[in-house]
Amino acid sequence: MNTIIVAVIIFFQIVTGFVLCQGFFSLRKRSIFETLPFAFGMGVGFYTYLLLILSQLHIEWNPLYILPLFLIATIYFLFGKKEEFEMRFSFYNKMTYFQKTMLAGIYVTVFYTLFQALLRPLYAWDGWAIWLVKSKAFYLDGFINPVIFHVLHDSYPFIMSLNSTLYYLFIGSADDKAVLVSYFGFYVMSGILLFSSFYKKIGIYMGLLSVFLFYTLQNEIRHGGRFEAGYSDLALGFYFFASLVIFRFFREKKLNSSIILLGIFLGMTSLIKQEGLAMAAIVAIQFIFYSLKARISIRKMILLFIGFVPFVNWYVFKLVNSINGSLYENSSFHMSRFFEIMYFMAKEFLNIQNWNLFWVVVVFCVPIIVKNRLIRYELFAAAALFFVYIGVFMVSPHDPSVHIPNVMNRLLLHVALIWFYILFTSVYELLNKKPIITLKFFTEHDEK
Amino acid sequence: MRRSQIIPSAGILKKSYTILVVLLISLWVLLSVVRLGYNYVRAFSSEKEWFFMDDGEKRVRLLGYEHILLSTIEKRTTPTDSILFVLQDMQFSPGFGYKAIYYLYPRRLVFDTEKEWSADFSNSFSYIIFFGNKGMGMSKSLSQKYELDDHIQFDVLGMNIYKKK
Repeated sequence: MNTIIVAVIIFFQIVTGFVLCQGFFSLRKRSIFETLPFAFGMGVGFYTYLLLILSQLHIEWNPLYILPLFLIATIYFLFGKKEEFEMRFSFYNKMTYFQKTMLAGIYVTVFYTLFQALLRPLYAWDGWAIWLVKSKAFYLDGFINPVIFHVLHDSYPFIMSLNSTLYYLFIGSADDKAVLVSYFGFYVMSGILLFSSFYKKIGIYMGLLSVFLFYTLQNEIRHGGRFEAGYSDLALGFYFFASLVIFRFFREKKLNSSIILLGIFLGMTSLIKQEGLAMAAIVAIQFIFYSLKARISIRKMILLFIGFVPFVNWYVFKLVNSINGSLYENSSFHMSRFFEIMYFMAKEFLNIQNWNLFWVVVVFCVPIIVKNRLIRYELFAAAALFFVYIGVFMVSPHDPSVHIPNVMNRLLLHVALIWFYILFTSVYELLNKKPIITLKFFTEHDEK
Repeated sequence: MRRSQIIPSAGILKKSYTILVVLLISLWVLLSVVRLGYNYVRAFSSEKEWFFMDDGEKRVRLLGYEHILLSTIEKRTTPTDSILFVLQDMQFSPGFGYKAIYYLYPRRLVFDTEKEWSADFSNSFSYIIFFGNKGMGMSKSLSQKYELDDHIQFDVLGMNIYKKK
């Protein structure tokens, strides 16, 4: 029953996200299918921000205060500007038998992960020690009590914890099994986001193939439902990639509302995990660089930083409450670790159990990836993040031979979506420019 | 033999590279399908027993004795209680502290080792819990103020819950 309640709340989060994304921001002209992942991300962020504001205003977290918002969003979704909410799965009717078989493979994989998410209670270590322990504490205290941060000696941001607190409020207890469905939600939405981000460019065959390969990665399945649901890395990868997709929307149409939406998603990325701040900074720097190049006015550029207001709020909250549990406070730089870091990274690339042949194919395709100018912003972001992580390992107070193998599979989750986008866009370019008769079906569009 | 006959042309290299990329992706697809099939086989064979367990049994399977210990403490104490855990040593059960916080928040928890805990310091707690893999008791000075509330024994592990009189 509790799982159903969580599923219903997720539904209302998506509806609210739709209304915000399509009603107020730049996704107005896009279909429901393309908007769905952004609506999910926006809905999750919106309600966690709401809980944060209520907590800071000393207003009780009562589900009855949130229900009217669900109602208003649903009414707006159903009756307001209906033509914009038209269901447009136009590509589905044109799909071939082979494409539908591939889609069936995707359904079978997603069903397996859902089944795993429903099968067990929380087991993931970070769920115990960081995310859901705070959800439970916030729920029991009825507000964001800084005490729990001191008890745990951490300063991780709040979105993932508060999101589960929202579900607890509606369930009426801290049921850590039921909320694992929300982690499955990030798994599903990641695949939809990947497909919708490039199927018009690379075709349905290649789009479905990439999503099938993404969903079947064992590491994704584990974090989406099997044993490691409860870590926030899948969500972080989702928000990072969503921000890059919105950045592309901005480059295409240069709408002010795209800038605000990008800022909001970057703000959310920085509030998922601490690594999110580095990701948000990388995309923000790219945005500024691009805007200067495209002669976008400074006044427009400033719109980006509206989305960072919650981050500033969070930072002030940490300062006021003396929350500072960073592991890296008293660290020093160890250049000598470089080769060791490279060794453990390469080892994870070759971890077929986690990643199948994904990273092997990425490495093999480096020559075509670096030549592909269509993905240069995504490539810069993904590469910059690698350097950030190398830098983090160099200053880490932990022994790299223990630290890196422990976290590397999760760090690669942050960039998996982007690398899928980069890889399949580049492979499509390769096959499209040099078609080989037997491989033609990979590059054919449904329109052709 | 002319140089051009030995070194393949750029066109052939590109074509070979393309074919290799496609072969690698095909192999990747094949492995994914096999892995997916294996996942389902495993779900209905070695993991089948999970279907028939209730929530408590699943938690015991995942966390072992820690779930039994912590859920017992949760039931026996109130959220306003303060609890001192006296462990055999801090490495005895890695991560036990975090799990204890997860189960028992907002109770005030303090962790100490058998060697270092002080009887005077311990007077300020509502409960003292001894947890280790051999007989762990309490000093005579404390036994005047605390009484044994519960005892749980596993194969080699034991937990004594002492409550303030």
